Amino acid sequence: MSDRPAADPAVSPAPHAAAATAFMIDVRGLTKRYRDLAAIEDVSFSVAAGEIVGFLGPNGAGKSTTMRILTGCIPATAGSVRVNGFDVFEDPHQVKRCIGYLPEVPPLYPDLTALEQLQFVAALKGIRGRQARAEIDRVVQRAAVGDQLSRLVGNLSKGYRQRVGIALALLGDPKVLILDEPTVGLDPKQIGEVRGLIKNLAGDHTVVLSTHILPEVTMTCQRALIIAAGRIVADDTIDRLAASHGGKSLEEIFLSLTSH
Amino acid sequence: MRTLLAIARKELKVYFTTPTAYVVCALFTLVASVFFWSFLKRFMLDSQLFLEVQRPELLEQLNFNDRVITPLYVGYVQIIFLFVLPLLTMRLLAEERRTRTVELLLSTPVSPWQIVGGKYLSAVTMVLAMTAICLIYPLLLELAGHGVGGSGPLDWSTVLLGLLGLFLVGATCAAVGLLTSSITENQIVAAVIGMMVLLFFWVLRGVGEGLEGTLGAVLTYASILTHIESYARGIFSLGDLIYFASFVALCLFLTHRMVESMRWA
Repeated sequence: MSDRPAADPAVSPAPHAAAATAFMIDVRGLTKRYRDLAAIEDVSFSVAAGEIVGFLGPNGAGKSTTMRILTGCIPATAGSVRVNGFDVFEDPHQVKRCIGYLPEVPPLYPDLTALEQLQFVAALKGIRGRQARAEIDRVVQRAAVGDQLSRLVGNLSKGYRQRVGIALALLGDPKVLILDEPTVGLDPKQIGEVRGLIKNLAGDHTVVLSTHILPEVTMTCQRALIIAAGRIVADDTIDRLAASHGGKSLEEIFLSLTSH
Repeated sequence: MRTLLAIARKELKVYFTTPTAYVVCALFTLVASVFFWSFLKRFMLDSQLFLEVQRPELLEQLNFNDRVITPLYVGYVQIIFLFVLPLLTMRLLAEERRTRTVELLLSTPVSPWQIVGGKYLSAVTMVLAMTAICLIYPLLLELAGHGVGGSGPLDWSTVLLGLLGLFLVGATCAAVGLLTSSITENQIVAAVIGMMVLLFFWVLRGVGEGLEGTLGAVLTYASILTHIESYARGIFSLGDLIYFASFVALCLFLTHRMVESMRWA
């Protein structure tokens, strides 16, 4: 399938040929239904390498569902996802090798210490020995959890748990980061730090972050994807979104697009 | 393989940093020791009785293997395994799903076999620890007892094969427990179903023996109880080993399907 566009570009043009080269993440017609309830319906978007995209939507709009499908945690009912040129359903291992994922609930084992948790995830990602120690040092510094390493994860405050979760996603320096509400539970100073961290990732990393805090998108992202009731209702750079909606703020655009 | 070991190591770390492993092993030792003591007491009473009634031929038949160790292993420790192992394994997969930490395993390049294998290895290590605890009873007898005519109190090959049989039964219980842990998010449900399944395979023998013909034979063969006997009597049986191995393999295969279905269902 994937080599057909190259062989005969006239017949099946644009999306997939382009996906193989330019886009880091390419989502086509993604649908997830739970019996009669459609969590997401025909979601399509693509993210170029090095781009930071904000995934915006009210609670229950389908942000987390989309992210879970993107990372291969749950299957889609229909549609396809390509990450770094690999199909999530056909090549899950290849996709998972280049993704760092922070789920909605940071996946932490309360009975392990923060350091043990990091070592475990490093092992899961196939990082070994001296390299693992260096990687753990690096992410611990970036997520600023150095003083909490010997504490049991279950005893950490929500903010620290969130930061350990971010550290886990950064382990192994994956090309693509999928962050589901990365600043939830953090205090204002930490929020600023995490936003700075995400901004610094731009260029080398492709980041998709979900949030319902609108200023976060304006501050960290180049592009916004607005999702409402399982459908993409807007997909553009923040400047152009503002321009096309008559210079309204992102908040007003968000409210008008998602209110029905 | 390294990923598998990392998962097993993490599970064992959780068993040993929480009170789980200590509570289970302590209670297991306590209960097994009470049974051991009661068998020993009976043994002493019997030998006194045989002395009093002047029946040396009965006294000679009295030995620790048949009267203490075998009934302890086959009659009681096995039953403890049946109840304890589903409790020990219930959290392995059910908890991961409930607390959503399973997303970590599903979003990293880990194959379902590595998950199932790692989790099972940790459970089998616990079985090994409990089987090792059972070694203290024959060791006590060896230290304190003495046999007829200067020989040792125990036939060690019988003891060791009994322990092997015990280990195989434990490994089977752990596999069933892991399987039931994979089918639900609720740990209690996992443990109860595990116990029921094991109990079913235990009582199957009684049912099979009550029936005639092929059906009876099949049910008797399917029962776990049927296959520990030769080990308890000190006979190494390849057929029984194959029975336990295929039981475990089937459970692990089904668990693998369950884990796989988490991302494909």
